Amino acid sequence: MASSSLRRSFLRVPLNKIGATWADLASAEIAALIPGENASAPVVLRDLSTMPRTGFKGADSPAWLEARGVVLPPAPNLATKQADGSLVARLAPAEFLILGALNGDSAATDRLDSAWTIDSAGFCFQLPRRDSHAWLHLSGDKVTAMFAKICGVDLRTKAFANLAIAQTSVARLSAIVIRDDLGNIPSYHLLADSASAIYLWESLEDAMKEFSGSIAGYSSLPAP
Amino acid sequence: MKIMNCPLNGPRNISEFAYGGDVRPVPNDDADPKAWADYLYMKTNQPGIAVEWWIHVPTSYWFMAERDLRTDEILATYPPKLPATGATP
Repeated sequence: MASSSLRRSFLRVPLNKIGATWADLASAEIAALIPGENASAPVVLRDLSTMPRTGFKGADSPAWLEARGVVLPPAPNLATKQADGSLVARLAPAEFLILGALNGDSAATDRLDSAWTIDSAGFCFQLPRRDSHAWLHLSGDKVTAMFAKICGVDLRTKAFANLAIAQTSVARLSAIVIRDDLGNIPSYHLLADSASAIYLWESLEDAMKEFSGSIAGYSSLPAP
Repeated sequence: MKIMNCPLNGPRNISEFAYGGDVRPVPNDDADPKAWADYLYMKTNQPGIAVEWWIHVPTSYWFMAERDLRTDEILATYPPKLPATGATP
């Protein structure tokens, strides 16, 4: 599909190799369909790297975000769903990562990004995350078994609550893992250095092979 | 694998951490260059309980750890503050 968006995924090359169909979403191209995808496979891997997200850090960031109606998680390494569908992840007492809604609506992140100015926010600093991190989405009944091969933290659903965060090493790469179930399907956001995105993608492809994993496009993402 | 307890993130494989050297008092700005050289380049390196800087690399979180250098046992980890076991920083 022809697209006019300039923003492209860090994983464009491997996704093109498997014949991805691209679509415009949130002023960017996203892999919408993958030939032969199985969206109900035991492990499903999707690339959400072009989806909207942002971040804020600094001693005044909790107060600055709360003043703009953001519901903050009570402690580090917890995430909170917002009414608009975005997800606020508290990475440290005063560091926040905000993932846009899974429907691609960038209103929540755009609103905060446009409200922030260096002169008015005190010790609250903008921390853009759309270029620094690749954003992968993993879901399925065997996803935690796959994670056990590449991550030292116990991410099984009985040990790792929904909306919990692990900042750890995944396939020897520093990463942020956020559990965010889609209904009753165990689902995890995985964010890691964008420059290493292809390495991580290939590591995940390899790790999910034994679980009959499938790469899928954005279009088959179930509604939250 | 050896496990270390990060005060922010909880127990993690030791491969997620990096050593940052002894915790020692920083000389004053106007201190003698010999004092600064000693601070920067000379290590205590004696057996016993050491108070050390460590970083959890995935989060860039610096904290302190008390480690028995004779057994390599990690006795305590905590956010930057005074030592917990009475060891001298």
